[in-house]
Amino acid sequence: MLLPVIAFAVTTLVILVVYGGVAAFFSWTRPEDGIYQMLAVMAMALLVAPLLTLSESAVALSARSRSDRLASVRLLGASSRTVRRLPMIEATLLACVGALIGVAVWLAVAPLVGLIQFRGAPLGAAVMLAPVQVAIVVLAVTAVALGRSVTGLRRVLITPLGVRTRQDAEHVRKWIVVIGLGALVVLAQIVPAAGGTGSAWGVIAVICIPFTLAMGVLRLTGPAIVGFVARRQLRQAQDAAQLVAARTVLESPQAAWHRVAGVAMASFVAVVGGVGFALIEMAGPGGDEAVLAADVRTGVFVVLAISFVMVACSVGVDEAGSVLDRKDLVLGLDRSGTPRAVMERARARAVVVPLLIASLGSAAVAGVMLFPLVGIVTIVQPLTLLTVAATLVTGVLLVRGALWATRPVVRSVIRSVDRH
Amino acid sequence: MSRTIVRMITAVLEAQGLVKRYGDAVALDGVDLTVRVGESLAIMGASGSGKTTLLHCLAGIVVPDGGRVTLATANGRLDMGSISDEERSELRRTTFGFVFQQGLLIPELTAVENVSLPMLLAGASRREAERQASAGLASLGLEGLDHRRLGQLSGGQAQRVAIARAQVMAPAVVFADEPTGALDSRTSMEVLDALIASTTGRGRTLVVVTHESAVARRCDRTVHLSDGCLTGVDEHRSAS
Repeated sequence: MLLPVIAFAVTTLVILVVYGGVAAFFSWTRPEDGIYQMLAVMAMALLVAPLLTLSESAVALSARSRSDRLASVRLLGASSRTVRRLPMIEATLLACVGALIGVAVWLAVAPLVGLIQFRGAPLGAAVMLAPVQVAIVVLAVTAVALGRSVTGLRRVLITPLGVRTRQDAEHVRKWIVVIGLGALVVLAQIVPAAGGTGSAWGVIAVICIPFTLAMGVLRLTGPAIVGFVARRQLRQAQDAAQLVAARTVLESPQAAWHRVAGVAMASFVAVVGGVGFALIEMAGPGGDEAVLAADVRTGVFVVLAISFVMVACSVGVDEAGSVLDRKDLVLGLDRSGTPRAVMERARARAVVVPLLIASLGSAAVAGVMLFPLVGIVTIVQPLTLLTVAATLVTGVLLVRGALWATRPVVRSVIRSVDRH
Repeated sequence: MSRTIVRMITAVLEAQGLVKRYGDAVALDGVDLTVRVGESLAIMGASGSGKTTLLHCLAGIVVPDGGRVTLATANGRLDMGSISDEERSELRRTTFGFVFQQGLLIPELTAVENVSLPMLLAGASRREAERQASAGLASLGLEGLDHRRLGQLSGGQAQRVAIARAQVMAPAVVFADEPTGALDSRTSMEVLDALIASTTGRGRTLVVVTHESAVARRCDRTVHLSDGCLTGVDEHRSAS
């Protein structure tokens, strides 16, 4: 029960922080503030994926074990109405409690958010939301949880046997990778033109469209790439941890990618934003353009940080839930002498390998798309790209830390002993 | 040769004065038990009688609060309470095998991968581990099912995969906790036949926790537990 509440709390907190920041941007009324508002909407769009993943983790936590129980009840002849009611109430209550906790934490951290500088000054009290806005967010989080619990239930109502048995691993279509890579090659011809415009507005405007398209391509090809790498790792696996980790990812490359997809987008943005910022600086902007360039850099790092925090929370909650869901298996493995370190290594590899593919792979794709520009920036403004790289590495370590933080859950499961 | 020495030589596991408490509840209250080399021993009792706790103490999963369990080794008798958690875990991995009621196979792995896991943990190469695992599956009548996943196996087949996994390291003792509890009666007997043939049939020792008398009757000896105490022993076959 605690884990879904934590996940809903973090979801609500992030929504309120982002909403507050966007509201602050939209409170500015100068004509030149339009670009800030456009970038704020883009940033929000980037954060939708990891936010949805986190909220899905929260709902999925109790839904997984609930689905099994409900499938059994359905097989015994319970009516659809009976099966439908209780889980909806449970999901709604958990989401509501979590959302209220998220609001309480937001009230504590909002002053810190107000210290972030844009346009040469702290955002200040502009990040605070009105009570009705906060209430809308709480209701939205609760409604999403309710909606997801209903869609999850529909599978139980339609195919209770399908829920109870798990026969085949997921199959990801390879042709998607081919089409995706082809699309990226086409996009790579468009983007370099942005470097020749010589103006901050031109750089931002020309990069946005192909960038959005590239996001879509990454989303389609990510699972296939993760599946491809996992199959290779399965063939090469020589110890128990490598074998279990590869099979875990292959069970559902879609799910493995989905869990870290937010990082893919953020990493892509980091490289594109970093190159864009460096190009603007190279153009030697003055006045408003210099301020905009600095603010783009701040915005990129804020988006990266929020994305990685959400992915880390989502991974932590997912993993903890998975351990509790498979408590008997974890216990059985320990009792038959499987070292805890092996189980931890398998869990870590199953998350970190897709994470590295998402993060470094997306950054590399962005680098290839911007190839001549990346080369120029690397020579003339190396510090910018080094900072981006350091941020990505920190983000990966943050997610690894979230996994490490779930070790007490494994220990508590192993310490429980059946009593007969 | 004195009876004590004969008993010590033929006893693979010996429990003396076992006491185990969980809070205020006493799960075991002064249990003495000898497990002989190569025998099949059933531990029977009602729910809450302490039978699984006794199995956990014998297998080194838990350390008793009183008394001790000793294991016959090449270097003499080893007091399992005197070694560390990690050493007990290694003992369970190398010297014991386990079959659980639910099988507890890793669902993402194929049958041969599940069976090969103990060998991989012991440092064997993947090729060698899967070769031996495949042979183990074939010896239990599961040839051709190497690449099936858990969801593609019947209950009886899955439990036989679990038996193969428990045996792949050629353990001295196999512990089975209600191995037929989740199966229908016909499949139960098939699985039990496979378990006994692959353990005592090869000179290994088998300890089974069960509440089914049909399962207990198939074993050489049955000990009865009630409220944490041994209340009786039935010899089904001579201990000679």
